[in-house]
Amino acid sequence: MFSGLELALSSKPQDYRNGDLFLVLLMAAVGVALNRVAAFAVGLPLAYALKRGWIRI
Amino acid sequence: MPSEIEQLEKEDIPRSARLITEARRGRLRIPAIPVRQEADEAPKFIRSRFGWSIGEVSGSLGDLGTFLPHIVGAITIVGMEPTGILTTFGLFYALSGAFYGVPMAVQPMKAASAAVLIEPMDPGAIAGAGLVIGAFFLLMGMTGVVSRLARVLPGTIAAGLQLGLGLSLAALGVHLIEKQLWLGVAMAAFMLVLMRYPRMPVALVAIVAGIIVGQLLGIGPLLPVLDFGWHFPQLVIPSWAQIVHGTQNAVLPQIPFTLTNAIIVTAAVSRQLFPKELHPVNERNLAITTGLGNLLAAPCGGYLMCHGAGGIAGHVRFGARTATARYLSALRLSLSESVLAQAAMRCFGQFPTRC
Repeated sequence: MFSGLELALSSKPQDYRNGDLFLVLLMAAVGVALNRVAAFAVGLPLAYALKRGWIRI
Repeated sequence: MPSEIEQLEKEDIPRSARLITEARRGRLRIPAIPVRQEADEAPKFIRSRFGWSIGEVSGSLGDLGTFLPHIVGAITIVGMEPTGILTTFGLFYALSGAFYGVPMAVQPMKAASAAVLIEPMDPGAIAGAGLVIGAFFLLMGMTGVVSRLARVLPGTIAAGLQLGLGLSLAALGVHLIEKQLWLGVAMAAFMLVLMRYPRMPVALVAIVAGIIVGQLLGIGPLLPVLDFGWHFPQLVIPSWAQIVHGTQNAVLPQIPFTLTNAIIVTAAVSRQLFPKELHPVNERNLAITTGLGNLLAAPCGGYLMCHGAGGIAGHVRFGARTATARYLSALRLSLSESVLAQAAMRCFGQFPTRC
């Protein structure tokens, strides 16, 4: 339990910009509900879409 | 006015360190660590790989807190053989110390560990994951792609995967606590109190306390009989299905985590901890040693291993400055698994899971 909490705590990025927090929470939700592959598959294109301004949260 | 060496010794440089201009080829019993120095950098010191102080002994225990929980989980929940895990960890400790010359951390891969505990994985799937992740990082390191990949992969991807895995692992812990609620809550409260003391190896104390409480209350299995002797790891050859299963569940979440925490941040932390000494810790070398370590360990029943920024900071915080701490760790594991043999290592299995 404590290992899990420590792992979750270390996920905190230095600074959140635009939709970063949304993306992190979305990936965590997909990872918990489905699996890590799905979270990665959802997160990677979304991260680039947010970075390039194609999507705004 | 103090000389430059005296000044640097005051800045926590080992006494055996020497100015690079004073080093002579062939006079060192252990060859100096080859590192190219940039022309515009300040003069650096060639450091000795070995030093001796009580800090090395204390520092060798500095990463037990991150080591034990994952290993106990791998042995008790996944059913991996302790001999394979501890032998390969010991070898990786010793080789990392010999190569890097600093108390380089070797830890279980945390994200993969979380996945291993959450998903139903067997030792074959873990060996498959170890082979894939080892080949990946060896290739990335040898081609130099690792540095570029680290820049391309957004930090939020690793953060999202870590948060999901961390929450899943914490939820697993809560489910295990439910099986013996009062004991689990008591142990969690005990650990929270211990966490007030930063130098306390909380996991180690909690494991020993858990075994004692389990035995006293009769809720843990009987203690095994210790048999002394030499035991060797058994070969684990994964099937194709196990490789795919291990890759899907353990490798994918681990790659961004290792890239960031175990390679980029570890290299940065090492540069901060040993700023005036020559050492070969850089992103490329860390990727290569991670890859080689996992490729060699996986078929021997080893666990998924990587370096770690928190681990090296822990070693240094507890007093380690040279590779001696790594050899002490390797010796401790070798004695545990070989001399005390498998029965002793089954002591790990005595730890009640709800603790």
